[in-house]
Amino acid sequence: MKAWRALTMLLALGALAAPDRMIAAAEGQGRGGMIRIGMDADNTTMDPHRSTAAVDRQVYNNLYGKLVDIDTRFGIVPQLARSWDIKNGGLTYVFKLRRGVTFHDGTDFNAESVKWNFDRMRDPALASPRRSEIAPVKDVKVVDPYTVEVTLSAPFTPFLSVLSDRAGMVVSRDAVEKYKDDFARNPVGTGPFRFVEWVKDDHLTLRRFDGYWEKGLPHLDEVVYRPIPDSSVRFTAMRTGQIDFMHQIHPKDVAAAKTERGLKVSEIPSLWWEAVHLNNQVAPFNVKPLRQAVWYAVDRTVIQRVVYYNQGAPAWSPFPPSMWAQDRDFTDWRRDPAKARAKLTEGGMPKGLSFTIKGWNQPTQVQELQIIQAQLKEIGVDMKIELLEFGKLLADLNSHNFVALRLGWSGRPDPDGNAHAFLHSKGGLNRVRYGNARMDELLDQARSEADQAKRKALYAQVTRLAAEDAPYIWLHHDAEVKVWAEHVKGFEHISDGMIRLKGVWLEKR
Amino acid sequence: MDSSSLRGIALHQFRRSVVGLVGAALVAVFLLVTAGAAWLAPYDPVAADFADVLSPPSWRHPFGTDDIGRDILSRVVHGSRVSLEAGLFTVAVALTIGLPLGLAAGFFGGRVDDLIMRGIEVILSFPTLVLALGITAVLGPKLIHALFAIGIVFVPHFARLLRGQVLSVRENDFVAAARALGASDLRVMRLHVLPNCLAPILVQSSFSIAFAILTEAALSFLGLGTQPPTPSWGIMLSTGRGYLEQAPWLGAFPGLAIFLTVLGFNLLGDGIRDARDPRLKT
Amino acid sequence: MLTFIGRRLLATIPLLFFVSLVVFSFVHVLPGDPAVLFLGEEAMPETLAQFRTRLGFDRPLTAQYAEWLGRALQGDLGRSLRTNQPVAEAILQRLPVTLELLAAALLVSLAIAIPMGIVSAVKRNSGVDLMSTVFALVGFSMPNFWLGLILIYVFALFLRWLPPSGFVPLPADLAENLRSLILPAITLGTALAALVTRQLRSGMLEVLRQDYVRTAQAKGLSQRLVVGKHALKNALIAVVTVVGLQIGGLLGNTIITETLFALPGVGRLMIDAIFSRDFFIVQGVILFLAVGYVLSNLVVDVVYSYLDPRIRLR
Repeated sequence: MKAWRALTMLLALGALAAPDRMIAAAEGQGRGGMIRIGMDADNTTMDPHRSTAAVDRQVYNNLYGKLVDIDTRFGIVPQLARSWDIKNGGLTYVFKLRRGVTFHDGTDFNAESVKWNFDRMRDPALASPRRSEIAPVKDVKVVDPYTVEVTLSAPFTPFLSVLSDRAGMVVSRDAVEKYKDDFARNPVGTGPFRFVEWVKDDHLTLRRFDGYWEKGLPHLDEVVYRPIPDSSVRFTAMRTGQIDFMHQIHPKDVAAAKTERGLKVSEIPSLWWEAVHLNNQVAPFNVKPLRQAVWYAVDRTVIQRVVYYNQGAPAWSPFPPSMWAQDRDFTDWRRDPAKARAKLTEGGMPKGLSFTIKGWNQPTQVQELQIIQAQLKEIGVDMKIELLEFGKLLADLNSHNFVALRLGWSGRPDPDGNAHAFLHSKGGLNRVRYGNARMDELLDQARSEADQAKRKALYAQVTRLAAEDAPYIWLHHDAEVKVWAEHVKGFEHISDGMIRLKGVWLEKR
Repeated sequence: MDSSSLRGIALHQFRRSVVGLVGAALVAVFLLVTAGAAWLAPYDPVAADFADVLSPPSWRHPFGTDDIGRDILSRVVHGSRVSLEAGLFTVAVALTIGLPLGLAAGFFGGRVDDLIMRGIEVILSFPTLVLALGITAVLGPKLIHALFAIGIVFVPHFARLLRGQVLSVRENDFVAAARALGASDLRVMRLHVLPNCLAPILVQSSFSIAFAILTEAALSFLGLGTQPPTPSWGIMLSTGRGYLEQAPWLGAFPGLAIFLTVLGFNLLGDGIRDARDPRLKT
Repeated sequence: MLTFIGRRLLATIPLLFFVSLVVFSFVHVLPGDPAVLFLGEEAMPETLAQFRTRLGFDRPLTAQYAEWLGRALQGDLGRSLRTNQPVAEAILQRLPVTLELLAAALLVSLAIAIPMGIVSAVKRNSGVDLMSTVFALVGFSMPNFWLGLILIYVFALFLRWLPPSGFVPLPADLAENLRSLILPAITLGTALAALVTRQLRSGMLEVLRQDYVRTAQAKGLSQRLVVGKHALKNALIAVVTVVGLQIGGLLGNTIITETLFALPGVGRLMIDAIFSRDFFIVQGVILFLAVGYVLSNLVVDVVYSYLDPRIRLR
């Protein structure tokens, strides 16, 4: 009898202890620990409603929760919105929100929070870059504490895709009202990690949020982002174990990374495009034929081979090969010096011209700029190179302080996200001040059209028109490469290049 | 080994002269290369050959090619011109400003001397590179700004040199006699002071050119001197840094060129200084 | 001794004043409108005006200088245009790295130069002497960034003994900290070592020839005693001379070395600030380095006078 009771007690105790052990078993052995991530630039702001830099999104994806997320196949998956209904021919979205979610400051997440966030983004006084991203949003209504109804002024097919990025990120109202402008340095969200500190140019630290709504997650204790702008130094830090994860590796180092012991490399197609931005309102590139001259003078295949070691693909539009919207039949982008010279003459500069391009002072980008410089020289165009630090480059772009500027766009899952903001005359990121009514028409049509085949045809026309007007000279679509130490487990590599740390754990060494 | 033995003296003299000769030889080679750059360089230094990028030294490209396919040998050869320009321009600036200042300070003495020496002290209070960086930071990263800044930094050296010479000559009996006979200040300066200065000026110029070449290379290496695609040895080293593992030849040859050229001018300066000095210097 | 120090200090003050004047003029007097340089030509006139007013550029120069100097004396060097961090704070944050690098370089250079200089002087015309002469001539002419690249290639990339770049702070890991400083220290210290070797050698030779030394030798005192007591002290004067003369060059080379090895020191701060057109940081660092340089010259003078009493009496 006694043995029987003892056994029962043991079983009972075992049953009580089991859940923890089961979680531990699922994790392997790695609860806790700190992961150090080497970034290519420092963050610019912690407020997603104000940010314009891709590097910021990395931290946001772990600090803020968003309404929806994307998976490896660009499908939309629920996050803070657990389900949704699209009604009225795409004009109404009804989101059912998750319950039991709290912000890092303890306040509740509910329909009011979502409405308030949308209102904040749409407030003209804030001048948020998100505003143009969600321009079609006409009204946001709280139906019940966990249901939100969003009404659009026109069907907007990319809407959910937009909400999978910063526009769908929810910030704490209490925190914004408390910190006001300083919120950019005291962020509060619903993500798996909360903000600890940010020492500019040195590190940014996040720590596990114990009140996170997904039980058992995250596994990591702490996340430290380190900005290391020099890619050689960053790669060295990776190899010597000073960092566990690396964002942006120079193409020349990829081969070495693949053969290095202790490192894992993942190379997948990305959503990126790299381009030369030409200021359409300032001489000489306010003259279309002169822009077209540059279009035909650049040899993208050489850049692809020499600068990118054949990783990624040449770009003739804002749509990379990973997107269904890419027009693979378009060929009028190949180098043609004769045509380029003819365009120079057409533009009134038969003897050539001279201009300055601004670029990022990474030793690696100088190579690409010099190649373009050499290619332009062949048609009599003298391009001078001015190198700037990243923050200054971005500032100059945003204030239109450039004649030509080379910068990339990290890309969005929906083709509209790669094109509209840049090519539409009212686009929020149209820093080159390009405007063409026909282009506006095409873009607006494409975003309200629900049928993908029809959208594809429209984007083909966009490609052609953009090549003809040449407000941007698209150069390249990068490969999306991530490198990490082999003790880092559970990372899911998605084409948007975001380092999502929710499910990541460290194997004990 | 007793330093006063004949053997010791002979060895010593020989060594001294070797130093100067080696320096002179290196400088001569440098000057020849700059003069004959167009003929010596097998390719156009800015001509990019995209099919032949980052290739190691070979018969076709004895120094290899760089990251956009340019021939490194040709770039090193043409880079010598940039260095020469740097050296000559800075010394020219330093002489143009420093000589009159030194002469004035030495000749007129008193308040003028004080003022000039004060100004020189201020210039000397700035570490050279820091001053050059400061000026380029505000004026913009153009080579000419950097060279001007380096030139300013050398003014004190030449000014003090001249001043010292003037002061020592002033006491000279020749000069006293000449002045007693009514020779003008200018004449005295021209006939008595300047000829004595020639050698020290050459020595200082040699050192200054060496330093200017080094500093221009350093500034270009930092990205604040010559801008691409100009073939400056400094820029080439900067590019080489990015490819150190894959293509070490990118930085090896320009660095060697800087080293040999700077060494040449330094040794030459040493040689001239030692030759003038009748004392048995060690 | 104290009067000497006092007199030198007094002479330094007007010098520092002029130095500050020059530094101030960098941003405010040299051509180029900082507002346009920072905000861009297309910035609206109102934005430019706001910028100027906020930073006080529209007031008369003398007033600006007086205010600037006043604040600087209290340690307020303005704020970074990019990060809004106080300039003084940014400099102090990075100072320990630069100081550690300088100390390490000094150590390395003296560790090489002192033995080499003494031995080559004592054993004239020997193999060591020849080697040290070559080293002295060559070490000074070698561009330190080239030397650095060679060292990185051989020791970090080829042999993999040391890290090629990056810095591990002292409190975090002493061993790694030292390892990350070895190559930078050698790179920075070599030129100085060359000069010290040369100066030490000639200084020692000079002394060894003196009568009193020969007398001591004739009397039978051991070589080592002679060298150790008499020669060394005089030779130290030579070392101090050279180090004193070279501090300026050393500070400049520190900037290059920090950039090459990606060390987060004051030099790197300045270079990054130049690329981001962050004028107040540039100005602050220059002022800091110039003042530091003047003060270190003062220290060298005092040490020099302590070693050579003749100077004091002047």
